Amino acid sequence: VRKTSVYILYAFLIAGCVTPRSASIFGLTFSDQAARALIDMDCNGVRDIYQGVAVCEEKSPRMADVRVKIPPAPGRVIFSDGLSKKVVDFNWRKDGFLWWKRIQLDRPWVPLDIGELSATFGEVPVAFDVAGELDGVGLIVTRGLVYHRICNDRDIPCSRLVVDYECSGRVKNTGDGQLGSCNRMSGSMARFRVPLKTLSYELVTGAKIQVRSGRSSWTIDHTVTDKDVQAGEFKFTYPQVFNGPDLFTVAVYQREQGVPQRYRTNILIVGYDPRWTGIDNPHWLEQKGNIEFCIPMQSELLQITDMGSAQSSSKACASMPASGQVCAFAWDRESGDLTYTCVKNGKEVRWGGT
Amino acid sequence: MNWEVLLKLLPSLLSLFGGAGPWSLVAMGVAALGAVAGVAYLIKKNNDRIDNVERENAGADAGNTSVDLRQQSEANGEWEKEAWEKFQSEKSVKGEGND
Repeated sequence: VRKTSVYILYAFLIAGCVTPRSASIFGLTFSDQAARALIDMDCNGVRDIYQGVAVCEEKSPRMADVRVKIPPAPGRVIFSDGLSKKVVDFNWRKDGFLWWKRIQLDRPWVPLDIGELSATFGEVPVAFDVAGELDGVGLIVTRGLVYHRICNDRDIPCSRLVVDYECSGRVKNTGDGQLGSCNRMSGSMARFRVPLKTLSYELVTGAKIQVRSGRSSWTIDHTVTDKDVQAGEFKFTYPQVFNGPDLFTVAVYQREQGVPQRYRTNILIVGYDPRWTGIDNPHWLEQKGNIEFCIPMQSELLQITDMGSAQSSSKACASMPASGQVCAFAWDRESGDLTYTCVKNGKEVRWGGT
Repeated sequence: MNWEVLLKLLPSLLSLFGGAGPWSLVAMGVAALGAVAGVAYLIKKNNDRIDNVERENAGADAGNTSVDLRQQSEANGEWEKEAWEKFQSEKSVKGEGND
């Protein structure tokens, strides 16, 4: 009897519907997790894939074209512009016998219906959560932010100011029509640099440089000195990056031939908790006509075939026939992270195309 | 079946667990299955509760973050507008800018 009951319990666990949840052992909330969701966005006619944070400035209103990557599991995308909230369901389940339900993989990307919102001049901030739900695993949530701005160079100035800033060990910069964004760990300081001479303008002694952090209301009000001009730059440091989004506005005012001129830009810095640890993509190797996906630790695998079926696996490796495109997702419930690797014809490709 | 009948049958049912015959074995098997099913049900119920809480948290996160970002955007916009108007209204000082 004891043996039978153990087998039955094991069967339940294998069925994957009664594994106890172990969330929140680190005490991290969704807001503490890094924004890692993939965003496919058209900005000024150019489509690009962003991870976590996407910023865009355009000079004429149009229908926004923003899509977010979803996991091959049933779930929903919840997105909000700060005024309203919308939900898009994806990969619905088809009921089967008891716990054996079939997932209908209907699409790899979900479009965010923010078209009407971006049809006006000004800023449209959008935050979204992609929540995928798997039996036996629970909810896996990835996050992202989109900051869309439409300027007209009259009451809503367009961005032209060049600012260099450190982002996770790299130096990035803003430019003409190009806003800045950074997804980085919170707690430490952020360094910025305003070059005074660029291809399109030159800042001279007396010019006013003003900086404001939207999160903390921290400001800098600096007048460019001869020393700054000699150095060719003005540097400033933000003492501590917080968890969550922090929108910086950097503006410079000066008179050119007596006419007031302004140069401005925005940089969206999104901090995540230092306790958060992401996971790597599943690693793969090809062996005897099979693709073997492996993960070393702390995550589970989800195998996806080209036909759209999904099968979860808690093993370190999963082997699949190398026919067509095969993918493996890895997720870690504790860190709320989700990554994937797809292989086609012996090369890594994006799942579902871009 | 009412309670009186059930109470009368109870000693006979309980005696099954104390015996050594095949029916006792079946009764113990049924009891073990019931216990496993009960534990599984409780775990599933708790998992559903956690999933529901997290589903709500995910929605709340999107709402809170977007409201936060919108407030920042509006506050920065007001601050920038005031600074620009103030700068425009100031008189030109010698040595400032290219004038």
